[in-house]
Amino acid sequence: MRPGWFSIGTGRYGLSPVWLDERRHQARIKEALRRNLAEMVAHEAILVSHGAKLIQVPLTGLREDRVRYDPQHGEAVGILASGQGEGEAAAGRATARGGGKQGGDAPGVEWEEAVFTVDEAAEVVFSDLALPDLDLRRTAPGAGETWEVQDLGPVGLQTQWARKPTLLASLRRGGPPVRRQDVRYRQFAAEPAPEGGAVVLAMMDTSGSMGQFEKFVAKSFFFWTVEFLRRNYPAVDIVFLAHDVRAREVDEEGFFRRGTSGGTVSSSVYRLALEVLAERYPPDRFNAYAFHFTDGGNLTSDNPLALELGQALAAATRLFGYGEIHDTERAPSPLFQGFERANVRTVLLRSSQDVFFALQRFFGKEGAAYGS
Amino acid sequence: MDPDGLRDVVEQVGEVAERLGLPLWPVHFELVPSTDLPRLAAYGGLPVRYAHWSFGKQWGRLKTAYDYRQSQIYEMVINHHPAYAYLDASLSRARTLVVVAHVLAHVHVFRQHRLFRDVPKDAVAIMARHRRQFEAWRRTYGLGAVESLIDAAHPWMEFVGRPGTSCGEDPQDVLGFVVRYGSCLADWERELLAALWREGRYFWPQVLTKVVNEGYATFWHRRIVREVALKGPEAWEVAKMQSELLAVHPPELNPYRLGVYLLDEAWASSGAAAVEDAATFLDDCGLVRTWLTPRTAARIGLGVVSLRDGAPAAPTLPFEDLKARLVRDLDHGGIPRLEVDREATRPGGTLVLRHCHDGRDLDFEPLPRVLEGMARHLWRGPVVLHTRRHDTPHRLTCEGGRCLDFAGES
Repeated sequence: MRPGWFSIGTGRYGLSPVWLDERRHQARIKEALRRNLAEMVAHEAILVSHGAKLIQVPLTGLREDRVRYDPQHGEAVGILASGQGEGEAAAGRATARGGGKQGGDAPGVEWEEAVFTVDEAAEVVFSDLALPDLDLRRTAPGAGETWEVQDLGPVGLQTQWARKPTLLASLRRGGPPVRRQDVRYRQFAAEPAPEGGAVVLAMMDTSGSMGQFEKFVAKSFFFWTVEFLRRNYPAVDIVFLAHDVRAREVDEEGFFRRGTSGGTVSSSVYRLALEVLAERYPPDRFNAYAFHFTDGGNLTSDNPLALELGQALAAATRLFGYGEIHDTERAPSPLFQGFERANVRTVLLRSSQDVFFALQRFFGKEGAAYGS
Repeated sequence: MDPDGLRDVVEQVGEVAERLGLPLWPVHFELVPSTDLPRLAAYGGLPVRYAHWSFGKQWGRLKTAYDYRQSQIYEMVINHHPAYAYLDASLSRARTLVVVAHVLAHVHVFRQHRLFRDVPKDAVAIMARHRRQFEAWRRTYGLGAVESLIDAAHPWMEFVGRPGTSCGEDPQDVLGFVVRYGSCLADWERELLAALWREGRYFWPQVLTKVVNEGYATFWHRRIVREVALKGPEAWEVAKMQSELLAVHPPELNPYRLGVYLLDEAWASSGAAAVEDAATFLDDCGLVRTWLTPRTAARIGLGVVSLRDGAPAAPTLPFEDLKARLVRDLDHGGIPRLEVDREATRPGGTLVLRHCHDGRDLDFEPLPRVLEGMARHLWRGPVVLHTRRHDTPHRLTCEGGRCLDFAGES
């Protein structure tokens, strides 16, 4: 045996920084999600599941396409369990791979990149949404937060050094000198503060003219709105109002479960909204926001009153958003046209994808960039 | 396993290997933590390659498989002078012994097989240089420009021509043809594609000889381990490892099992010289064509399975047909054969590709995207692919961002 035919390394070898490529892969997933946002927001499974369920989104541009034989047709030679040699019928799948081959790139195994939890999806959807025109000076719980000392810890910035606890810890250990392990720092966390108070009024038409599609779109919009508020503004109050010819305040569950019947009188819910604001949410303490979703089939005789009360509501709130849902090409209702002239922020939804554009129009940071 | 223990094992294995007639080539061993092996495997076994998101994706997949103990990679060998062998440091002495013997046989194939003859001796350095070049281009021309070019070129890294031909010479060398004759590429883009062509060329002989390579390595580690005196528990561990390696996972075509049984047949009928010949001259097709006998086919457990669900196909084929099928499946590394039609293609004109149809249709689902990548980012002109589907001629044309499929024309 020739001496020195082999050598053994010292363990100081270099490898490609794989996490950079992994980070780029994750970024591409996000980009693909963003391209699919409109479809994703309109996904029926989200509304039904109402929780940490998985949704599937087609993500083009992340697959590694290859020129391959059709995997769906024909036959190939494989190894069946009927062999007579050594080592058959294994339970595990521990297999060595060698020879510096390119690792398992079997085609058609792309499931992992198309499935997301609602949480992950929400993070992308909400990343550029905010409550518009929020006045931070209003003194109720809402959007405001303050930094409170939460804990004392052994690491931190020098400016957050806590002198007294450090000395106490030193004494407890047995006195000076102060050692590294005695040093304490204040650690801060965001806490809701009584400023930037806000309330959101969710108003939904539950009259008999709201069909399957209209109901789905309205509930879908409010589902995402509620998710968005709970996530980004946990202290904000949400008031659920449902109406047909009469309006009533309902709880969250009742709001999303509600069946439909009766006619439509929109002024009823605007009046109720104004009463709720006047009684419980004084304007000096709360930023108020109101959103109304309907199919636009308002009782004709109610239109003047609804227009008047709607404008009053718009004046009493930072934003009054009016969404009208049509799945046909009919013209917007007189109420819609009236609101549009009165500078109420309106949106017309014709397909479930428009829910995303409604969210952008009402909460988007660049306002009407996605307007209908 | 620590470096000293490894030194003992390598010396022990080397001595036996030399005595049995396996030449010892220079090898540099490196003991690595188990978590580094998926990292190496994600980059095709090379320690340093250009940056691309698909390696990150591949790593995530391999890491998950490892975390759930669905697969374990014992070693990665790099075809470099000297050969680099990365071994899992967490393996026991008995398993390390098997792995080292396995590695020595792999290295011998790399050194003597005719298909590896024009693989550069300093692949690791070349690929490390590619990484630096790609990084410089990314800084100059932006991530988008570099990434879209790599994305479009990746499917074509399997079409780099036969070993021994120069860039763009072989009609099967589609990527090389674009590098050489593509008329709309900037200098840096042409250089980037040439780098990808070189990397494709490094891997291509390994794709063609997967069964030969694994079979030969398994053949030799079994032979060597038999000659090493093992204690009871170690012998048991080696036997268990061997059994795992040769296990049947229907309908997967386990290359270790297929290869080692074919070489057993060669050994039984013509002795050691036949095994050496197989590891010098034959690719996977050739190995099956030369050494598959009815007896071996039964030992391996070969059968025809449906591609859709992996279930055994109803009628069992006669042996000769089964063999012909297996040869066809392994042909060209299991990748369809495409050729550039040089008569019909003009630089700056339409790139005409022909699929050499052998009875199996192409997968039409990814095909438009692959062709569009070629038309938009590489050739930068119209691309046409002639193929057949359900016994009808098809012509796929890609031009101006639209991919159309014409059936029934020739």
